Amino acid sequence: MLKVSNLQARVDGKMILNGLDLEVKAGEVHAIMGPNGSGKSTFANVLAGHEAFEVTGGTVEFEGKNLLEMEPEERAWAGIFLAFQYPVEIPGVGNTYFLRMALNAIRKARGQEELDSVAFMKVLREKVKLLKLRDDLLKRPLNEGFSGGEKKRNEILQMALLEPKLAILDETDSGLDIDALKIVADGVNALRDGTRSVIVVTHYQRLLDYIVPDHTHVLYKGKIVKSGGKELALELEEKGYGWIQESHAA
Amino acid sequence: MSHDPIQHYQDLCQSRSQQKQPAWLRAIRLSAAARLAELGFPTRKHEEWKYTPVRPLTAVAFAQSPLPLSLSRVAAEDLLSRTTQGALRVVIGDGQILPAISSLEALPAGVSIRSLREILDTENEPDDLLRQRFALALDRVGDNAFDALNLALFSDGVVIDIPKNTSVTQPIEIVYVGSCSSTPQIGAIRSFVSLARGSQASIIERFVGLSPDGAHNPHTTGSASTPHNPHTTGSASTPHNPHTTGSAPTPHNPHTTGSAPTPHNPHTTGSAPYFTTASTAFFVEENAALDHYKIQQDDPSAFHIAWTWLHQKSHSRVSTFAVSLGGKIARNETEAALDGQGIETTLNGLYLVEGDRFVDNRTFLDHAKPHCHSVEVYKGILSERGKGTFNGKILVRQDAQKTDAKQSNQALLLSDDATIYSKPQLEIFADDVKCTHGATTGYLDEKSMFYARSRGVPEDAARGLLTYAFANALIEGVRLPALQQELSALLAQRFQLSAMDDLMGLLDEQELG
Ligand SMILES: Nc1ncnc2c1ncn2[C@@H]1O[C@H](COP(=O)(O)OP(=O)(O)OP(=O)(O)O)[C@@H](O)[C@H]1O
Ligand SMILES: [Mg+2]
Repeated sequence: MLKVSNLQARVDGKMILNGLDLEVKAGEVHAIMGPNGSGKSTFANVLAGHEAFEVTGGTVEFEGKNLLEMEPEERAWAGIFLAFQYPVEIPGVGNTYFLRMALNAIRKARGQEELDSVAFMKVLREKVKLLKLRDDLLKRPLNEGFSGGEKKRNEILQMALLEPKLAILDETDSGLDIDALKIVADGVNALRDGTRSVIVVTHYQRLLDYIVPDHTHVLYKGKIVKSGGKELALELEEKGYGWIQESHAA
Repeated sequence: MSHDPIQHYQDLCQSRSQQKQPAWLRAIRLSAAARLAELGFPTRKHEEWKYTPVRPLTAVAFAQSPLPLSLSRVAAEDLLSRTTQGALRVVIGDGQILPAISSLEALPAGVSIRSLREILDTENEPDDLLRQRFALALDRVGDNAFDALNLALFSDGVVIDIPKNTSVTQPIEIVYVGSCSSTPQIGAIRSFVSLARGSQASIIERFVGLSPDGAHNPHTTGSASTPHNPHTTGSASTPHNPHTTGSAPTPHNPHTTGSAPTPHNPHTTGSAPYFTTASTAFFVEENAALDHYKIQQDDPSAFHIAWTWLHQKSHSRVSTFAVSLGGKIARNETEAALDGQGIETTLNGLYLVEGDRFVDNRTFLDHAKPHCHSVEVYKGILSERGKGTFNGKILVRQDAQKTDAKQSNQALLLSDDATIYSKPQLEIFADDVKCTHGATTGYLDEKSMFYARSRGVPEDAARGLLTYAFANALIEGVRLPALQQELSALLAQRFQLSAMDDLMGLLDEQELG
């Protein structure tokens, strides 16, 4: 589904990704861990098409298409979704209005009929129930004044509605209490149908108890320096990154 | 045939002064006219008028009709459909109150809404208070030539009194109608609104234009991305001329008799711009609360110069929101005198400027006493060749310790040819105060753009959405639901967003179910 080869990217003239390789097959869950500043969010943003990051080398294929040539919205239409580490607040736009606008834009691009208000509300209701979101968050302006955890849950609500083929969760677990963590995991697992894939960027093992990864990778200085199964995450939590950094000291 | 604007207005004042009125008022008018002659019209050399193109306005010889505007039934209906639903309403056409389409019958007990002209006509000696207020008005003219012009020429106004401890739940709306007819018309209006101790009211001032066919201009009601001017097309065959005689349903209207001479020929095909100048003074006494909305939707060919004067006493609260959507040249001046302790004042403004329009915003906050709190947020969206100014002055007098004043002007430029001139001015003479100001001029936030696009919203739509959001964040503060929805819908249409269905309503319904 996703094939990243030798990806290099920089921001403000500074190289952040230095030859990243990753292959995600349909239905798989991949966890990416790594120390602060190693390039995890940069990688996620490059996949979603953020223009601030300049790709200087390498390729990214998504379902056989060259992802790097696509605009951010085209990537969303193709089925990529990034749950942001720091979702933006947009005062002046109702959360529900935005959800409908996004869903209908994607439906339209995919040749599906746009949903009218009543049909949309029905779909939204189901997802809201699944994620146990409070109603007032739907009425408020998009993310404005939401707590850290509420923002993260709202990202997952968007994901549940847009039903992406590849969901990238960038530290969605940070700042979630244990109940919220389970709810978010349920949301992600509800999406999994054997064909959809997930990349989970996290610092902690605990989310991976609920969303069990098929593969775990360590990103260090813009490269994947170690890959393993779900045990690797446990090992990292126990030992930290020191032992990897040592083995990679130039 | 050269037009001398000062002489022209002197002549208008002469004929205005010959009409029946108390002697003291006549004297005030003549003093104001003399002041205007002395001052002359401002030029770019005047600091206060540095960017304002005054010439296009002074070049037109506006006439002041002695007769009220006559509206066909269709035009009147169309007009009323553009007012705020559920509000008590006073309609002023080209400077005179139109009782037939005003709704002043069912007023709450003690509340009075009267025509200034009637007060001055019928009572030989109106109360001293009114006299004092006119004296104050003359005093305040200073070097403001247009204020002098307004005072010399005003033909009517609204006098509203809210008695002590009375909360008026229904909003009161003053609708100023300017008509584009064959002769350029000036409507000069002066109003006084008093909120006695502990009273509470919402006042809307709405300025609209009436084109010769009686239809309103789409430009000021939403679909402004099309820069065409409907007034350049001929209107010869239009059946609903606002000045049409005989067809208006109003018995109060002299035009309906069919025999009244009309000073401006209503049936020609021309469509001249109009000039609305309105001065409204609010006297908000101890503990009173006023929500004020100024919705300026004048015709894109029109001229608009208006003042909002706020006189606040201790522990009063005023929130004003000026929305500027129309006019070729529009100037909004808001002055708040915080003359008491524990006062709260909010001066917000939103201006949308497209085509070749110009919008001038001037605010002045005068903190005279301790422990007052003011917040001021202005937002502008300028596109095409639109130009705007924001000049916000805050004066904190020596006495005004513990003042907390915040000001910001944020302008969004949607084209390279659009311009904003922003000038905050803080003059602080007290030492223990908190004053902040900020001005930002820029483009849409890139992070928000990326966020919306990453959710599948195409770039153009995302741009529209964020522009809408920028303005709507202020509109969300409107406390009258009908007005808030109207303004939000108007913005959504302007920035080409899909219809704003009542999603929230649906949410509530489902909650119950
Ligand atoms: N817009 C930017 N301008 C300059 N430097 C940037 C920018 N964005 C990211 N960086 C830098 O790139 C490096 C990688 O950042 P990134 O956010 O990808 O790290 P991360 O692995 O997600 O870290 P964390 O675990 O703290 O979220 C950091 O050194 C960061 O400071
Ligand atoms: Mg990160």
